[in-house]
Amino acid sequence: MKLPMALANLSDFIGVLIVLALAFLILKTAISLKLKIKGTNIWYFLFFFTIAQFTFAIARSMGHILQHSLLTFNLKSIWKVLKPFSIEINTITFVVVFTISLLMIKSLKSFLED
Amino acid sequence: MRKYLSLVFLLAIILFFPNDLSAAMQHPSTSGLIVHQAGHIMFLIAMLVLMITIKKTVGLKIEGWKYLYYAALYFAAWNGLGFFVHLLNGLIPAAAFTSQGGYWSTYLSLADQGFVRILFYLTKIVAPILNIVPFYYLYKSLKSFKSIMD
Repeated sequence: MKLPMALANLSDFIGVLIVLALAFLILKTAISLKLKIKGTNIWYFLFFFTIAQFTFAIARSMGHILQHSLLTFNLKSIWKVLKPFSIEINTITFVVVFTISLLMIKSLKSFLED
Repeated sequence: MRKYLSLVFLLAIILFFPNDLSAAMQHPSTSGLIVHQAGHIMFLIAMLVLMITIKKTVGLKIEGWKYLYYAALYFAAWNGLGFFVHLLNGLIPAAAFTSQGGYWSTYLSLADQGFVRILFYLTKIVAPILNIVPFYYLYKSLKSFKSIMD
């Protein structure tokens, strides 16, 4: 018995497209929120947390879109070269999310407990 | 904060321990995969810390914080699942994937490792869908904070 990987690829492709759209929506909302609560710790937390998640979403979505596009057009050799870069950029964004989240959570915690 | 960093350090040691990971080392760029897995764990831990912080300080009564809590929860769940997918993928030999004329005609054979391969296939389908949920909740959280400020 064999399972078609097309279903998993389609799920991934649709998933990253939706995440890409949501990433721009969260960025737009965070920027408009900036104008209203600028200067508070909550604002800094929400803004930088959103920027970190936006960076992660863009890096991941672009990498996956590139993968599906190149492999669809039988450009496996190009994807083979780009794949490590795509994976490492994704990994860097994980670390960015981790660092920003923990730094911001610390300041948020002191603000909320006051 | 110090205890969370200790946990990250401990997990990093486990992840970098070569003997434990030898079963998953079929990938040509092994070190990259291990660092990527460590990244998933770090992301997961940050989201768990955020969930604990929200619950212990503001609670879940205010919509904005409640949705942010859910966003962190699903980000954590996605990272856990992502880690698992990479782990399963490393157990499956490249020969298990056969192509019948192109990328969209690739099939995963179930002739061997039936349970592992079915689990990999299902998680591979679910993971991208699960990744949408936290972004949706983050958007709802920001919208909710914005409506309070309006």
